[in-house]
Formats: sequence, C-alpha cells, structure tokens
Amino acid sequence: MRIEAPTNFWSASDLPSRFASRDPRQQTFVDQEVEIDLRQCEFILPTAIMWCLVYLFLASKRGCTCRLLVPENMGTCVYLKSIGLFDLLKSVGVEVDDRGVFSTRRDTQVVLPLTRFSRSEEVEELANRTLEALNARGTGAANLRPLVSEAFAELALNAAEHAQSSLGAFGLIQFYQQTQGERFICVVADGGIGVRRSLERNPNLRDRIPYDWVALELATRERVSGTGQPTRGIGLFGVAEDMRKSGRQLVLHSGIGILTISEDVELESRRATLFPGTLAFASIPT
Amino acid sequence: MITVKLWEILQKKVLVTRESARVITEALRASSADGGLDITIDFTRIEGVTPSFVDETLTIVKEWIGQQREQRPWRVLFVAPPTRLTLKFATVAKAHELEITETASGTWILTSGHALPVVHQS
Repeated sequence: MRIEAPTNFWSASDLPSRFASRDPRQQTFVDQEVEIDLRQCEFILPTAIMWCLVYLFLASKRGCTCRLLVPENMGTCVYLKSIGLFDLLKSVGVEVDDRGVFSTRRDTQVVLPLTRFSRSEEVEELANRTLEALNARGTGAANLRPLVSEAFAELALNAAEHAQSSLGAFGLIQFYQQTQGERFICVVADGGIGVRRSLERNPNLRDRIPYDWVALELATRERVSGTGQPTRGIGLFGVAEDMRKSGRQLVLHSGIGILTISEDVELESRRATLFPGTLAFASIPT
Repeated sequence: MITVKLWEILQKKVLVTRESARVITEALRASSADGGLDITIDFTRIEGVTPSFVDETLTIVKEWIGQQREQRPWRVLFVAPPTRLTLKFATVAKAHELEITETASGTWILTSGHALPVVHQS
C-alpha cells in the first residue's frame, strides 16, 4: 500500500481515505508493505508529521515492511531531518533514504524536537526542559512560556496515563514565525486505544459514547474521565479552557473524530479520516 | 503553621505529576498539627503547575488532616502560585469540596467547611 501525501500536507484529513482509513492497530490490517510518499510534499504541518510517525510505527510493529519516501523539496527534507523524524523512524526499522540531507542544528524554531516518551516522569522532565529552553532563548513573551510548558505537559500526561499505547507517545514543540504572527505549536500523539475506548473504561460512560467525536466532546468537559474518580478529568478540561482565549486553538483527533476549540469556535466536533490513536495540537500566539 | 517549600524539595520549575506531589506526604509526616491546622504550600520559584499536581496535593493534605483526627476547620494556603486563580484550579478545589479564594497578593486560600478569616500575605 502506498499513501501519497499532497503538496500541502496539514493532517490525515488530506489523505485519500481508502488507504488512510486502514487501521494498523487492528488484527485485520493485512498489508505487508506500507509506503508513505512525501516526495511531492512542500509544506507539512506537525499534525501531519505525527500521523506519518504513528502510522509507520504501528505498521512496523505489526511486522510490515515500511518505507518513507522523503520530500524532493530540500527545505522540507532538512526540516523533517532536523526535528528528528527520520532518525526516529529508522530506529524501528522503517526505510528512509535521506542521503545528502543534513539537519540544521541552528534551527531555533524547534523548541522540543520529536521526542518519544511513555511515563509521566518523562513528561515532567520534558516540560521543565521546554521551559528552560524557552527562557534561555528568550523566545516569546515571558508570561506565555509557562503556559506552553503546562499545555504540553497536560496533553502529554493524558497520552502517558490513558492511551495504553504500545509504542509510547511523541511530543513536538515548535515556535512559528508566519505572516499572521508568531505562535507556539505543541503537538502530542500516540498509537493507543483512543479517547472513546479510554472513557468507556468508566461504566457510567459506556453507553453514552456512540462515536469518537462524541467521546472528544465529553473528554473536554469538567471532571469526565475513564477512571470515574470524582477529582479526575480536569487536565484536558483545563487545556480546553485555556485555549478559548486570545487567538489560541486546540485540536483533538482520535480515531475518526476530530474536535476544535478556539476563541471563535466554542466547540466543533465532526467525523474525520482515521488517526490511529490520539493526536492533540495546541496553538498559542505570542 | 506547617510550611512546605516546594522548590527546596523538588528543584523543578514546572510541577506536573502526582508522583512529584507525593513528596508533600513526607514533609507533612515530619510535622505535627500542634500549632493549628494552617498548611502553607510555598510555590516560590515555581513557574508552572498542572491540575494533576494540585489535585494530588489536596488529596494528600486531606488524608493527613484526617489522620490528625481534628475537628477544627482547616485551611491550606498556596503562597506565590505560578498563575492567577483560574477556572481549572477552582474546579480542582470544588472536586475536593473546598472553597477557594485568591487574595490581593495572589495567595490562594482553600478552606474546608467553615472558612477562617482571610490573611493577606506581606
């Protein structure tokens, strides 16, 4: 199976669903070879990078022969190399032909390169490392740096504690300078059971979640969690509250559901192309 | 008054996990309630904190107070918290059936049942 990415690759929703909806977490995933083709890709967002990473990790774990065809565009290729995508994929046996591509260590926009983690202690260490890096570089407004670190930590904690992901989880934090302004992007993704199945562990919720997008709506509400404990389920609710302010945005994509929260969009959830696990994306303008 | 200085114990600027909050258990164990039931959690030098950390902190404090077999109302002060009191932290307090207020100086005061007079920090 070859999945071809478009020139501007923003998320899994940009992919032909006849291929991308095949779930590498399932026993029924029968493809022996998986190839993700980024050759025509000139612009790729961290949400799309996470999809490539999780999909290939899962397929590789299933025993498939996996290959990433790197972008022909050198700038895009150098960026992907610099954030650590190619090395992470190679570490699990994915074939990546990145001959002649060198990472730019001077890239000050990468706050936290693609990092794999699985335990909450690692999340705390990454959150502290992030704040240290932001303070040392003086990136963004001083009062926003702890918010970036906290938002990342909360999203990453959810992945570490609730995802039951056999491959762990991945985090990436980047500072973007665009014509619309400067912003921090925090992305966390896992290849786990998804928000719906996580919430269904709570017997009180089991019959209330017919779809992934309903699960995402519930998960952002106050004190809703798979544990059923009355003081739990505030972390994601808190991030959602924080992201309803001044140009910020939160996107959650789990299974075939996607949810967006921002200053303008109180909450919008709908069906989407499969993400085989859960992806969380927070955007914070400086 | 019992005071727990988080920076001195943890040496971390961002407090994230429940495991980190559990160091408070040791600090409380080494204290007694003889001087009254005001517990101060000092966040000086801490720049970020998650609801999970605060939730676990309150769970530990409540357990400790339960062990003291005290009938008096009690109070927890969060001195120099890294952020203003926002809805998410108020929700954590509510989940523990505590009232929470923020003083002019930024201290959070969490009270059980009968609220004690607010003391502004200098």
